[in-house]
Amino acid sequence: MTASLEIRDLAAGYGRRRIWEQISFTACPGEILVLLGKNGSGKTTLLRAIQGSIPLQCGSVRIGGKDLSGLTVRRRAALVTTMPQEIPAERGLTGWDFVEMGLYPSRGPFAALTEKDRAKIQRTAEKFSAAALLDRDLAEMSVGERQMVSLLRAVLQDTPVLLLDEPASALDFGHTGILFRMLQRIAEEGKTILMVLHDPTPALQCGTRLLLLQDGGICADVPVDRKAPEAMETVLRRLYPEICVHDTPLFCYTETTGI
Amino acid sequence: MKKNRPVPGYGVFAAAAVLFVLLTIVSLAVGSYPLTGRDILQSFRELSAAEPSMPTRVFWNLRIPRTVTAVLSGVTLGLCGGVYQMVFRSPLASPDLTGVASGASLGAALAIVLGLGSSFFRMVAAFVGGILALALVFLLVRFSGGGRVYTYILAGIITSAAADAGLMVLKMLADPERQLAAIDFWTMGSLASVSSAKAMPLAILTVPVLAVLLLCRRPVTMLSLGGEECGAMGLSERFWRAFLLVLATLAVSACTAVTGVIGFAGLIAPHIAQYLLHRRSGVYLCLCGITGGILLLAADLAARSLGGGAELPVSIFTVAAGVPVLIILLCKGRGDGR
Amino acid sequence: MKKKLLLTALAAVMLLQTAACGKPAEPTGPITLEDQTGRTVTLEEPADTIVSCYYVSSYAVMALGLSERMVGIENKADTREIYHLASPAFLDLPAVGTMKESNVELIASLEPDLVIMPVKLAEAAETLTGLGLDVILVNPENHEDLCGMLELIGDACGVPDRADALISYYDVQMDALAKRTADGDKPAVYMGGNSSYLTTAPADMYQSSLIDLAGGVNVGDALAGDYWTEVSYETILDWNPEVIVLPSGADYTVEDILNDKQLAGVAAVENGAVYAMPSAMEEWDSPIPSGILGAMWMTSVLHPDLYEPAAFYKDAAEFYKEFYGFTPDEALLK
Repeated sequence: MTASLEIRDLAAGYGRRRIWEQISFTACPGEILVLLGKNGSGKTTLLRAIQGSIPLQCGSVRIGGKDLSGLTVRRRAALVTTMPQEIPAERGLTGWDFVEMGLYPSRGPFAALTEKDRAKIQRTAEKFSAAALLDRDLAEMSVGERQMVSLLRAVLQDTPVLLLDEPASALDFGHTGILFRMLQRIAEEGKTILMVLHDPTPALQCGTRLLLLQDGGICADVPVDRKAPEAMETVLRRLYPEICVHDTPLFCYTETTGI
Repeated sequence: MKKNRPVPGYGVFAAAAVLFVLLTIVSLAVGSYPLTGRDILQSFRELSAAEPSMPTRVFWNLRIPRTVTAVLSGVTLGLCGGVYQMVFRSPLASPDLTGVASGASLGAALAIVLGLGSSFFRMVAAFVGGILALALVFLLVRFSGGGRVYTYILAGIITSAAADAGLMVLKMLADPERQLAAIDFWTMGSLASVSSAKAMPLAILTVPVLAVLLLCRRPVTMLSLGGEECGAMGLSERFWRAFLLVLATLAVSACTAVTGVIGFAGLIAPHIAQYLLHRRSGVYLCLCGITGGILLLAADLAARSLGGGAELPVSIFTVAAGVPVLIILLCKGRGDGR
Repeated sequence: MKKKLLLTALAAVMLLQTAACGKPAEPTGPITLEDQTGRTVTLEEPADTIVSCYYVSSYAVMALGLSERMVGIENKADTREIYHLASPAFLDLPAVGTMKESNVELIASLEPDLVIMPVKLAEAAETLTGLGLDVILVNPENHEDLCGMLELIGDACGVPDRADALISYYDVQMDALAKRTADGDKPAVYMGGNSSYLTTAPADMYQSSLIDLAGGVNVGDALAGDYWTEVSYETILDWNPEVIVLPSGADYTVEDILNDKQLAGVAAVENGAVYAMPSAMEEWDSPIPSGILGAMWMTSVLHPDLYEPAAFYKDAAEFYKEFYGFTPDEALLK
């Protein structure tokens, strides 16, 4: 399988300070990479650097073989998009208004939506059992519902690479389960997902690969093997010295229909 | 599955549009000079006459320019108010509260004192003043590191105060008989001295700008979600924010150069539009403009007919309409910080 | 010979009276005027209907005996006492605007032959000119411009002789004042401002020339400028004026000054030489047609030995009778 996301010798930071450097990894379609790290280790910064919202100090990001550095914001957004921790509860915008923006990279600022576009928005929402959110005001949604809308927007944008920044940070247990099931479905359709999590439990349950960010670089890059808890424990103890990984999960996320 | 999602608010929009057109007609028909319907019809017939009658001259030289100016500046203030609020992501951003209007009147006053008096040059000077004020607000917000509602208000107050201080200096230097009177006029806001020589450049400048702003409603909506979101969705925040704000400031400055500072119209029109529509997408920006137009047409009608022959400053009425709206906002907690 | 002279005089008086009655003189062809901003205005014939947007020009219309030709007047006409006395019809005329704002539509609806506006309204004047109305801009800020304005209105309305009569009256009176006060001491005068006596008239202000004309020395001449200028108590104490004069439009009284402990040491206060300019009819301290009376009144205050108050009352009453057509009560002149 050819790599969809290639990161090579990446270094970035704010001002003169480098948060990390020499980060390199590649990811293939269908993979769910989970980025773990302590507070301040630069997880969000890495997502920003890949998306291009902060300048790179060196290195390159390639998606599908294309170097992102020379691309316009709009071209880049056709290849990679980010689902932030939280979207603003902007009053007066409906779920539809928000999701629709996912079509911006392909439609541009002025073109009106076609009938096909509308049907696509409707279909995407129904696929994730979230059609009811389209007519609701963002300000009146719960944080979880807004995250769902945000995910719909990212899916509609149809980029080969999807970046998520702690997507479950504000979700209750039930919604977390739904979200991760959805992410697995998206990955199965051939997308590459890179997500930041602060909780290793869902990382082991839903991710296919773990990236551990520590001391200004990636200190471990291992595939998730749910049948080898000891190996996982060894890796994770670099970050969380107290952690214990069992082979029988205490719980598991099951497929449910909608929220 | 709903195939054709109805765009909500068309009913409200149509009602507002009808009211807007009605007020425009009333504005053409009502004034101190008694014009009958027949006079107005006659004035269309006499349009190319060599020696037009007084009613014809009044209609073409006074009524039409005044109504056109009220419509254009109302629509501009309302629409640009909507754009400012979305782009600044603050319900209190508006041409007057962000200092753009003060900056523009400082620019216009400077043009007067320097003796560069043509309508067009005043507009250019007003634009430069408005843009500088906008830049100052941006710098202050950036340095204070906030993006909260109150940061913009504080930055706007500082900018307005600086511009007003400049205006005072100019007033000191101005020749009290001629320039000072002209500057005084700027700070009060009035449509009483509008003539076709002023309405024409205003139309030439604002109509294309308003058209472009309306075309850009998708980027405007996206900007209201903040920079990080925009990048992820493929919208260059820096470019679009600067582009839209410069356009809006250009239009507002042109209006300020002609009518003077008209308080609150640009602030409350978007809130009324949102209250009516419950949405800030689709026809929202259009409705902002129409609401602004209605506000200013009504305020100007009041200004010219309630004074018993005397002309009242139009801001009295826009501010009088704005205060209750702001109180309602305050009580509903919409004005609190984000 | 004597008879012929008498006849000529009689004819002149009759001509004067015809003009005073407000009837236009015989048309003499187009009248071309240059107003006080240099604009050229051409009237086909002497103006028969006038709109005046400025009280000074309305006063001038009155003093030139043209009151009956007025069809529109500035706002707040009822606050001008002189209209009540000399021309009550003014009070019923449509009010066409203030110094800042004029109602151009209303003026157009009156269709006057002539519109008189202050220079502040230059923009509205352009709009009205665009409507085909004849507008002259006036700027009576000093005595010369006042005379210029009187001549302008006189010419536009076909009564130049009335303007000449007023101006020659001024010349005669000013000569008389100059002769009276040529020798002898000139007292130091402090002129308070309208809103506060801690503002005063600097060197280039009309009020300063008034003091000079009346045989006094304006202590405020030490300051440059042409508008009421703020001063401190210390400055007034330092100047130590012998006379303090309140302008017609003062918002304070003579007692206020006499009771102000901060001014206790000033010569004028110690001697009780604080006088308020009469304000019952007009603002004599400003360049209006009756402004000459301000200088005459002040002379009678500064030099009562040279020009007795009684003589002033007589002269002032005659002025009003001659030019405004009524005899004011003596109480109005104090």
